[in-house]
Amino acid sequence: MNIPVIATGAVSALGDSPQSAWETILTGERSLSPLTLFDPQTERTPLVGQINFDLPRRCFSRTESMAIAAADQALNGIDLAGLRWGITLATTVGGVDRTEQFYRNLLDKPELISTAAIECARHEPAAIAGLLGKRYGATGVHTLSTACSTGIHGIGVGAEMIHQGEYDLVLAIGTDALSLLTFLGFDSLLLIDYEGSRPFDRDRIGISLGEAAGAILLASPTVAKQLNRPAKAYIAGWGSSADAYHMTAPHPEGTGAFSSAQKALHHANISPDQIDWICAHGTGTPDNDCAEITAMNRLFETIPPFSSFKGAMGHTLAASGTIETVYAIESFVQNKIPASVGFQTIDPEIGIAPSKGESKVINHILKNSFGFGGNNGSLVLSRGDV
Amino acid sequence: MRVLAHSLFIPTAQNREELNLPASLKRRAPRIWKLAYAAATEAVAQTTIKPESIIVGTALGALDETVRFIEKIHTSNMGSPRQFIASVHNSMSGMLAMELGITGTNLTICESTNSTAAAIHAARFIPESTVLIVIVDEQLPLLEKIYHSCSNNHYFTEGTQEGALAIVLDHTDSRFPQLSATATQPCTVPSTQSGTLFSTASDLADLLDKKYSGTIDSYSPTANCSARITVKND
Repeated sequence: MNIPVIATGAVSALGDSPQSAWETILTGERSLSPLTLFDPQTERTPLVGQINFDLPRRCFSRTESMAIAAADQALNGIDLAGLRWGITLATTVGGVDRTEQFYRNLLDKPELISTAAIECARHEPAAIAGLLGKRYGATGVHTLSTACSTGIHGIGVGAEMIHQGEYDLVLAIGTDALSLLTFLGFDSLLLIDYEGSRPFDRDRIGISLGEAAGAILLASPTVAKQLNRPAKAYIAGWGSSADAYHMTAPHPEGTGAFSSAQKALHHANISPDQIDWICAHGTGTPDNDCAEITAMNRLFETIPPFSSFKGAMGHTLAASGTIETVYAIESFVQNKIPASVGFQTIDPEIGIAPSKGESKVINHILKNSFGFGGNNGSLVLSRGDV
Repeated sequence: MRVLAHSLFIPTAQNREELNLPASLKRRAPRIWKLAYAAATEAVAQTTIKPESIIVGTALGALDETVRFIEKIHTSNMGSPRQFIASVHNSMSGMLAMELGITGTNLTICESTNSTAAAIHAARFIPESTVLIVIVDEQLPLLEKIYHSCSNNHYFTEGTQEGALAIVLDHTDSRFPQLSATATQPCTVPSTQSGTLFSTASDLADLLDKKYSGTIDSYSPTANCSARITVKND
């Protein structure tokens, strides 16, 4: 479909803009630090991808605050007057950081129930989209929540809305803050690597949680021209599928992952051998990484270089698809494939090492994201005009 | 988009007893999963066409499980993995994919009390032509408590309601009955309007049952947004 990406924005542990984060990524260093945002209530303090710089403003929830920081960057200098434009918001945490604090207070002071309506209202993911819609004057808002694959679907649906003429512009935002609920949830599933995740490594044991917001401004080709904004990249294809297998474990053969990636390539009218880099989901959990590479081995005759951002910045849940797409777009500029941070030793079950970082002309990228509920999303990104 | 089938499930003491649930859901599945499953299987059974994709619309998701999980981590510092998994907003759509064997696009739209319209609207943008849309929200004591404590606030003004509405749609077919929805639009919700949990879905089921044409406007004071659903019968 080739929908132009005309601007991006990002905040994560890697940096306060897409460019600053990309510089950090190329160093191959981890940006994980000990969790200090809240008491994890565990014996050890985990390393997480926590944003340690000041966010531009404190809103009702951290998730909302990060979304505004990323959206401000993407919309900077864009004249939206007279345009039909929408926001797709990808979040799974929503205002949970506030909800859990409120619930804790409520246990001590039951009379706080009288203020519960406003707290409940902000718990809803849609409240963030509504706030952003009003703040920026969007003509439509759409909130998606499909766990860790949401960011990809937000971009895919947004691109399709432009393709079908619903909007001139779509701002696809993915945002999720660190919260006690998600930390203890993954901890209860024994899926946290306290020392920092190691995607695709033989000794990987789990994820590092992170937080981020990414924003991608998509435009119709005509409006991109009117705004005099060359495409940084194109959203060429979107694929979506369900494993229909297990609520948390991926299908061991990666059938859903294969299907979403195959659909994205088909949608983009691109053959597998044209893909220069797989920007992998690569969480660092034993099952996920294995299933993803099993699926990619089935899709590609020779698997292209692949790497994951999650060893460097943590797993940012619903935001991960968006923020990792923002960073992947930066790779077109310098033609550099980043290293998969945290990897040391080949896993015999995977049988192949991720990229150690390399220079290569990059024309097409396959971006994968997978989530709870067996939910899978893939995008094909193509080189832009910048 | 043509409506191929629809089914509304509002739980009562009697129909809960009569629910024909698979063994995987019978004992420990969250209540909201059972609501979604009941409506979805009934709608799918009404048509010979197996939907290729799923879109779930929910304002608050599996709120009961979320509250239990938060309660547990604040009282015992430990969470239950089962409750954590269920607390994720797309747990219903994942469960439906598994139970019904639907491997196509699987989306969950959370647009507050506009979720019914938002899920219908989203159906236009997925690649598969047939889609199972399930609108589901649940009631729980905490929500009731909040409702009674702040009777002039937000969508609690008219109380809450729980249930599930399932619709099988073909978005490439323009025959009657047709269903469409606008995008959710930011607005200033008039003070005379309130959004009530699940009421839009019940109103839509009523129109479809009676084979009427009409429009249903929904409002979300929490998200400050509105949307419109249109049903056309011949």
